[in-house]
Amino acid sequence: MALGRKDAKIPEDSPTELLLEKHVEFIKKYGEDPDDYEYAMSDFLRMNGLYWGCSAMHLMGHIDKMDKSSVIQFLKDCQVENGGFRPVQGHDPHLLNTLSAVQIAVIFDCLDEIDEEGVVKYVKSLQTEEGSFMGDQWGEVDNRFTFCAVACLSLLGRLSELEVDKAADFVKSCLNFDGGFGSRPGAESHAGLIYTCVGTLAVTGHLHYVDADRLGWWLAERQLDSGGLNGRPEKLPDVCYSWWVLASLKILNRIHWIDKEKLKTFMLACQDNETGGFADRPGNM
Amino acid sequence: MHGRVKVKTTEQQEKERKIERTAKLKAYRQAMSTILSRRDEGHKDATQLKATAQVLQSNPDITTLWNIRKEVLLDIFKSDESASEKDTILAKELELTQSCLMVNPKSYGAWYHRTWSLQQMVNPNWNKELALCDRYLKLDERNFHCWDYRKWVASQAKVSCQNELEFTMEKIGENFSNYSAWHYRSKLLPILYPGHSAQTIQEDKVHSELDLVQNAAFTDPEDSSAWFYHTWLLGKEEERVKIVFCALQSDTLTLSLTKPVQNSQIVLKLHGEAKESIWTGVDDRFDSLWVTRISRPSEGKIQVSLEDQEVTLSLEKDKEESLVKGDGWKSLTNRFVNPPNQKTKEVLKQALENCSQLLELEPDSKWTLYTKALILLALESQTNHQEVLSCLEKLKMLDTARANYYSDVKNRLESEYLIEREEWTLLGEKYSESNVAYHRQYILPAAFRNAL
Repeated sequence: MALGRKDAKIPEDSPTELLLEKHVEFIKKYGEDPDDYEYAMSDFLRMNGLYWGCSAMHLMGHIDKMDKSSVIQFLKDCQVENGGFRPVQGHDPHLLNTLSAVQIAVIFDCLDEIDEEGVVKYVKSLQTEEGSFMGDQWGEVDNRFTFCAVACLSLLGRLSELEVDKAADFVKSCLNFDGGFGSRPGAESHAGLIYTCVGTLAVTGHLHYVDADRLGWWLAERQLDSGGLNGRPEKLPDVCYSWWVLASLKILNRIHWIDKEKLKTFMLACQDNETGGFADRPGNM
Repeated sequence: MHGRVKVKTTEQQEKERKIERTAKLKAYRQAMSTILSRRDEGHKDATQLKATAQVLQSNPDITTLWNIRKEVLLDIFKSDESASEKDTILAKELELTQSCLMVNPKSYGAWYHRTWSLQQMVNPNWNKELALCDRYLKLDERNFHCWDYRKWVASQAKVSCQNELEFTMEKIGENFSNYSAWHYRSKLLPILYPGHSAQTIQEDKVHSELDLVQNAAFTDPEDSSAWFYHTWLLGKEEERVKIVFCALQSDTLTLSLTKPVQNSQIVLKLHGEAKESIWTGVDDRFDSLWVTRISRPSEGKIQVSLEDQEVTLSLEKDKEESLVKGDGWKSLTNRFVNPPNQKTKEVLKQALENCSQLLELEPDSKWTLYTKALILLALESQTNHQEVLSCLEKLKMLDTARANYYSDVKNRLESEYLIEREEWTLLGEKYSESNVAYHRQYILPAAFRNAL
């Protein structure tokens, strides 16, 4: 093993079992105290946070522990006249929150409670001439938004309302030497952006634009000796990449290129056995 | 909440922290409430600018606050401000974004607001922006926000690609492990030294880059940055799509292509007349293997074309089956890897020699071994086949995390070897072993395997 390579250490006393009950508690408790510092200070991310929380609860089989009626009310309160969703009351709508809102509605099977037509209109309005998407009326373009747009309308069964081929071609223009993708043409490959681009191409039927072997290899090389995955070369592992990297590999039919057991060991070690929840790497918050 | 260490605190420390945080939260809520209600009341003034600036300094990721600033500024610009006033006002935005970036150099909101502000300016100072990029890249040479921003500034300021190429050389010189710099290089070279097709580089430039990257890779063989760039340089050019074969069996016509195409692009002609046809593949729109049903005539010609490719099947009475090969047929003389010319061969042989020497010093260097295999493949895929396979077997043991990857590479290479040698039976057996379905479009239908 080489010395000095950026990687995390797994402490001796790290958890080795999945502490599912603790995670259920962690999410359930989160938000119960509206004056909790971290919770309150991240209100501008509320809609996204709510999606991740609900999604996790659903996967763990405990979605019933979330208060469905107040979630629905929250969604309704956050949709504005132009069809987009705010992250929380008072803040401005954005494509990021709009996807999260639609995803939450799908989890709770309550799409009829939101203005679907409004969402379609809002998302359509953000597509540019070249096929990319702005995050909001202020014009920032990024493939995170391309994915938000196509995933959103795909969930609503309205993908054909967008210039789908143009969106795929924009993603194609972001292809890099290593087979990966970045946020815009010319931007460096990054596992999170790779997920958004591969996801976009999968949803729009253009996966053949990807060199699956080249990209699959680059993604497989995100796995470090600790078993954890980083987001790009020579960076520290972060448990969030277990999602971005693995989901991308799964879409590319190459998930077996990651050492499953080693990754599991890393992920289990990221758990906090006091509070529940996961840290980005063992020993962190 | 990435990168925050969990630290054990005493009860006293906890108490103090709680008091501090309660106060901070109160101040934050108060500030936000005032800003948002004043906005609702229609105020677009200096007070809003001051208030949002204060919150943004410690919370640069609150998009709505940046939006409010943009609204206020656009409102101010509506009244007849002379050009210099506008730029003076916007200079404050640059100051603000700069101080926000010191708190969070990766804040999307701060970088975008800076971009937006410069777009509004009448006379932006691009040199100042390039200098800012220099500073931030010195702090973190992998900050992709800063690299992206630099590329945008360079395009606005009409900085030459040559200049930018030199900049990447500087960064690589400071630290060979600068993946971001290698990446930028990969974008600039095809513009400055274009090859025959899109995104390729002139051959002699490929050779000099190989030399450069080998120096980098050998300085620290465990660092992946230079090795990734190295494999890209060894890669083959993308070819235009070609027809592999077209086969007729009874009333079923099969078209095989080197790459996926849209079925709508395929043109079918019977006796010279275009015929509407429905092609089915595994995918609805894009596939490399398409099948259609035809009511077949007993004699005559069937033509299938795609872009500039065309193949013709001559039908004969009593002959149920017929096959024609296209330009994409892969036999010994038309391989999966384009055979190198003399000069490239020399360069590759030198690179191979370098790798072999490094492996003597560092026999466990997986990057060196994998690159050696790729060079062997680029030189002579048929002759070096066994040696490449044994490198991959060794890699499965050296780099166990990626054992399945190396297995699949082996499978793919074995398929290609058999396809080139037209060993159809062995190929059929190999195909069923593989995890990933490679080259299914090259697998000849059983009826034709012995005939050829």
